[in-house]
Amino acid sequence: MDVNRPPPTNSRIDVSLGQTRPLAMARDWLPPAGIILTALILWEVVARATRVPRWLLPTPTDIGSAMASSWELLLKHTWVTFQEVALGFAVSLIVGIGLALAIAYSKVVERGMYPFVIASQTIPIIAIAPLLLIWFGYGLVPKVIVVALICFFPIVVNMVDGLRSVEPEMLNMMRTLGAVRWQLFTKVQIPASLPFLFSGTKIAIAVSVIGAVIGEWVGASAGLGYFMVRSASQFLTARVFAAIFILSVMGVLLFAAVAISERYILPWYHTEKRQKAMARES
Amino acid sequence: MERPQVQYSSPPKIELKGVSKHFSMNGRPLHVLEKIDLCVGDGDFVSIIGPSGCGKSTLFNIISGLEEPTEGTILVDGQEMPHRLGSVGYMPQKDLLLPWRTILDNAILGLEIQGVRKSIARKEALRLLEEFGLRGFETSYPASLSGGMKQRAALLRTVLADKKVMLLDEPFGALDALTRTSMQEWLLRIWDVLRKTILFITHDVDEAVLLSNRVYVLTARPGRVKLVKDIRLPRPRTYDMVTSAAFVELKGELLEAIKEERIRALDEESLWVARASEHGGRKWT
Repeated sequence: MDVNRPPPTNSRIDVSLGQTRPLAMARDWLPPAGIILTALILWEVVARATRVPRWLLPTPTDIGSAMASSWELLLKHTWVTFQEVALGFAVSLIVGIGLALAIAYSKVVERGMYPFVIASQTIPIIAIAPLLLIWFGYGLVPKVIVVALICFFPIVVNMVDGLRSVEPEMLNMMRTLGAVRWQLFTKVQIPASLPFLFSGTKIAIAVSVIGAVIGEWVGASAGLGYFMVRSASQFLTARVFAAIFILSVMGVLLFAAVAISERYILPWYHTEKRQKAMARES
Repeated sequence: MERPQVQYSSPPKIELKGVSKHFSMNGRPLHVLEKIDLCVGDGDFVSIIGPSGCGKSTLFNIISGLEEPTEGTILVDGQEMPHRLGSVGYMPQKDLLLPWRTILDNAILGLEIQGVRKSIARKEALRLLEEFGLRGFETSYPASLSGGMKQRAALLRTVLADKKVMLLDEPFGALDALTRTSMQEWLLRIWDVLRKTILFITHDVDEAVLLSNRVYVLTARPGRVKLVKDIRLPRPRTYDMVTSAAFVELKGELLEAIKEERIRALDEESLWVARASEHGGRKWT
């Protein structure tokens, strides 16, 4: 008998969704684009028809022209806010991952630190922002701290859950292969926690922009939050809307960046999700 | 060609002497295994069958070193081994492949843990990929493989870890009947080539008779050895043999022994349920 011949198997599962790419993109993007366009047109028409004063409710075209006329100013403030968000997020990622690893690895650290991690979320950030202002001044540092404080919680909690998500059977199998504690940690627990880490990171990046704006409201000399406060006090309402628009675009782009890096860092997770989606559809 | 059933010249690869395991369940002692004597020779293929809840998985946990017996000794190569963990290969019913590793990198897990360089381990795995029907899938993730392929990948991982003995806990239990049959024939071929010592758990009498040199039938809880049967069918074996007179006779004898235990297991289970509801406690499963 031919030993080298493998037994018959089910052929490789087809992973294509059976749809052309432009068509799938149109299916994903058309509905939200349609909703936004309809809303903008409705807004423009209603605002003009009812003759609401411009300083109370500017129309989308007013906002557009405000952006066009003060784009240099907006760009400067956007860059400041973006720096605060990026730095604060980076700090929260490093501290959050480190803390999660320590909590999952050591019972002592868990008992000592976890209550404080949770307690930190019950402190209203707005309440400590003035303190940070007193301690660190009007510069970058207090905003970075506010962003980091807002971001680190979902990162820590999700990653700790992920590190604990491994089935005991899996760990037992690893032990029969001779794995010791740190090998279980590095070869199983940490990779298993990465999808959870990304879930936490997506939540964190979505709220990070809010943190920067809060920090700027309390006291700043630059940034989109500062720009909004200044514009509002002069009833330049179209500029306030312009800042809001830029902030939400920034949030969406940052979220998209995290989602895309997840696809590249965890290709296996993407494959798995697609298999499950296909199983649901068929 | 018939292999010698037990090699008395050299010590058996694995020998269990009077192994018992007792747990305490809600303050009541629970006897899972009772004085199990079992012997697996070098290069032997031995199967264990028994009703569900006869403690087969506990037995494997004990042999692999994940648990210690309450009483009795386990000899590996004639020596007592208190730290067996990592020296006996264990393949559970679930494939337990790491989803973030490719098939190739899952296969080399055991070697990697032992400290073998990845490049060397991969070379060794690639050599066996063909025989395990995984050629062309080395860079695939487990999620895109069929059930049979995942089981073969898990078996390759166990084989490559190169342990003295391989414990296979119902490896084909979750597969459909057709895939299972081809997997059994494939395992027969692989075993012939690799000459590994295998201890195999199954619910399937056909599977046990087809694959094994010897079959142990365990009783319902507490698990005791009820019957030891040498399977003196010629090798190499194929699936066609299941209809031969010798096969049917062996199967009948084993089925008879198991049937008694199944009935006893059922009675016991209903007793447990009755007791549990009496105390308002949870059903023991």
